[in-house]
Amino acid sequence: MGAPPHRPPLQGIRVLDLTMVVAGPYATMLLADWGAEVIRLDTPDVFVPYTRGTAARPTQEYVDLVKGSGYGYAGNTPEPRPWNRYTMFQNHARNKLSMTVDLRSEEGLRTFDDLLAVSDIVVENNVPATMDKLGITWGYVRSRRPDVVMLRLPAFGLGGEYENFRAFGSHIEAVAGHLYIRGYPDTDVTMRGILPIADGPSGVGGALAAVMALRHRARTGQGQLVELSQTENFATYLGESFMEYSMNRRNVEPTGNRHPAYAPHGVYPCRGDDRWVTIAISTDEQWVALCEAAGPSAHWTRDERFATNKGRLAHHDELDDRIASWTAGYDHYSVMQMLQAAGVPSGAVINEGEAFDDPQLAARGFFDRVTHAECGTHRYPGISFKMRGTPNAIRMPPCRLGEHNDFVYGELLGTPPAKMDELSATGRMTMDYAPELL
Amino acid sequence: MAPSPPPDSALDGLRVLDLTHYVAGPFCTKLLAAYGADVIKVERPGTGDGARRMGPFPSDEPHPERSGLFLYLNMSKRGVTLDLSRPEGRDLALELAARADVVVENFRPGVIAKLGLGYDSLAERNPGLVMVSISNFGQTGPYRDFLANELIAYGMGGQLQSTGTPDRPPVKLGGSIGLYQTGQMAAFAACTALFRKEFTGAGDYVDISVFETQAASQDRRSIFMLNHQYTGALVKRRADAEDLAFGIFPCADGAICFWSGVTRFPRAAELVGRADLLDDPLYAHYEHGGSAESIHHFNNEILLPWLLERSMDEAWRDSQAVGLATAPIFSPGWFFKHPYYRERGFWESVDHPVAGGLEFPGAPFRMEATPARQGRPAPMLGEHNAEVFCGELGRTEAELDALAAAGVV
Repeated sequence: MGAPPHRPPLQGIRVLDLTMVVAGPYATMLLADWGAEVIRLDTPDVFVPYTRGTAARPTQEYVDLVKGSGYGYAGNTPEPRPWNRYTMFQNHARNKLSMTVDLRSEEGLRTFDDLLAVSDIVVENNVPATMDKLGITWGYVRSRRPDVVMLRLPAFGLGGEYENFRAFGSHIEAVAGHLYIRGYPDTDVTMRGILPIADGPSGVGGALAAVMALRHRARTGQGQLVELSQTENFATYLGESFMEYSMNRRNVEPTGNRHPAYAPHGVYPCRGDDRWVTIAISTDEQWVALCEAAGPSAHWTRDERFATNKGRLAHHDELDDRIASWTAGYDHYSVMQMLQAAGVPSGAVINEGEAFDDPQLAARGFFDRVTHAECGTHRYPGISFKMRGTPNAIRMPPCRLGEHNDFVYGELLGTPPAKMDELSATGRMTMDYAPELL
Repeated sequence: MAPSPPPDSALDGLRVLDLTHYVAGPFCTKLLAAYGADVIKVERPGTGDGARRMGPFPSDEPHPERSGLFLYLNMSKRGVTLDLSRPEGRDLALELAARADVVVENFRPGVIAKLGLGYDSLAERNPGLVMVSISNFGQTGPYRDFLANELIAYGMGGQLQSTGTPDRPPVKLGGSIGLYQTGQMAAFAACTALFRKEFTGAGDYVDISVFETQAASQDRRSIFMLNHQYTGALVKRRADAEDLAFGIFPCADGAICFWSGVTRFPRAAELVGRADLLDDPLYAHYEHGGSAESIHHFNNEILLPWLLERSMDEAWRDSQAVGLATAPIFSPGWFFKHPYYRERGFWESVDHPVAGGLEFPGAPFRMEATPARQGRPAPMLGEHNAEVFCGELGRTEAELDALAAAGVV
């Protein structure tokens, strides 16, 4: 205590951000959160679905439709510029800068060269063929800046027959075997829902890879290509599942919310609409504590069959019904507080609205209030972890398309004013997508 | 200043003292070890890391040196035993911490300080130290001492609420995804602090939790939080297939996931040879989300029969050929055996003195100039006691024997 706060750890690092959708942007968000200057290169003539929206100019009907899917638009309106209000983008674009450049043009590539000359790392997660088409490969980058790091996050890998196969986080979890092992045990894989689970791991893995390479560069001056196959990275999160196959040639099958070795372990209904609590008991002591918390009127707590873990596992269905009959009388936070006070592992299932009132997130200062020029003021999910000597919070609102053109073209690249005027007049420096884009 | 010669792996020369157990902490230090760090893992004498008692085991026979989970998470580390609650054990840990660049621990909050190994004590002797504490809910706040596991932490921090179908309780993800993500995030935090240390010499203390890692994750949770702020909506559990060419569909020998986005519908129409649908009034405004009738018509009456006539592999290739984002649903075994990843050399074979030769998932990313280190087997309980305590900390064999007799190591 008392010591002055440290400078942000990645201060001085400039990132050229060619990422799309979620995985790559999450990696660069983590770099930006911890002090790197991240410049998004947005192409106003191409609309990449699921980056700044599903379509460039969605209708009001579509905007109304998608809010319930979790990927809505600020204020439930597409106006004025829908690409600056799409939740999926806004959530990872804080602390970043946005410039517009058409990398498909010769002039755009020269701008990339100029930026590369003053940058430390390039990050991209496009279909590899897209980068080949643009000519922005590691060979190209290295020929200009051998001391730069290039981090690529292909879905499958660079090279080989799947190199250019397209995938979101949902496709990656499907290929890596995770969709197969999750969900209700009695459902077919087609009924388990499409969930972009791999985007979290890909972003975190990408950020780790970047900073490891940057540290090496700081020590030796050496740049390099770093390739993170998103399926491989995700597979490293499934250690026990792959070891089961590796050792016993057996697939792990879904167990729903149950634990293979302990009971009870599940999600139980509580008072209110769609309210739930988790309970996970792994010792007899915890079981006894649960029984005491449920009180003498809960006759099932004296059922001999439930006295041992073996018995509880064997009668898990019936046990679940009994526990549910008790939890249903209380709200989910009360059950959690009651059980945690008794030493029983349990938690409220907290929905994304309740999270804003959660006492732990409040005590940790997790949310940051941020004002965005077009979306207004909202509370944003904040920084992932804390460094004691480095207090941290969101510094800048999500970057609007082309918002930092003046800074990047003018201050950073020293473009002459006449040239800047020309770039604006011809729509290359812009804050709007090309009018013909849907 | 002349640059030093490049090391073989990115973290060669980095010393890590690993005071972690179970999943999140060991995954963090495993990642550091994979890229060259010298990780010394400290386990409790006698029983060791609790993960040694968690499966999978070969032929389902529990054995502390054969846990697949433990062997995977502790690959390439060295292992010692120390009773940290005894003064002699704590003193040895202090010596190791004084020589370390990074200390990682995941005891329950408060325990490490009570052991006399808190950041303040360690940093006094080693001011450049980077220390990472991993916990369920963080080192502060009203939930600090709450008990949790993957299910509980995901229910509180993650998006459990909307995972599953409307007619049933929410259902968790597979395995321990949340714990692994926390471990990888902790490795990022450690390396980020180490990066700064190159310029300032200063260390720092990282407080990272499973709860906040989930809350801040881009696997839906933080996106849905912001969506709630932006729109007031809450995401409900729901059945799939609410978009054109969107869903998990059966095919002749398995199942395939389709999701490319509404604007890519023409590619799906092309795939099934029905480009004519783009002129059909039923499909008007597909780019802004098709009508319920068009979704039902295309998904069930056109795409499904087309898929049922094709294998998963054919359907995957053909759909990718027209630029759709699709993927087969693989079991862990299919992924494990798949030639693509075999040819890339993803899997690592490691020989363990007790568990034998086994294949493990390999490194999460490839660094061209500083490749990950070839994996070495996880340490047997106390395997490196003599090497570390005598060879590196200068204890005599007699002293080590005395410590062993006293149950300290």
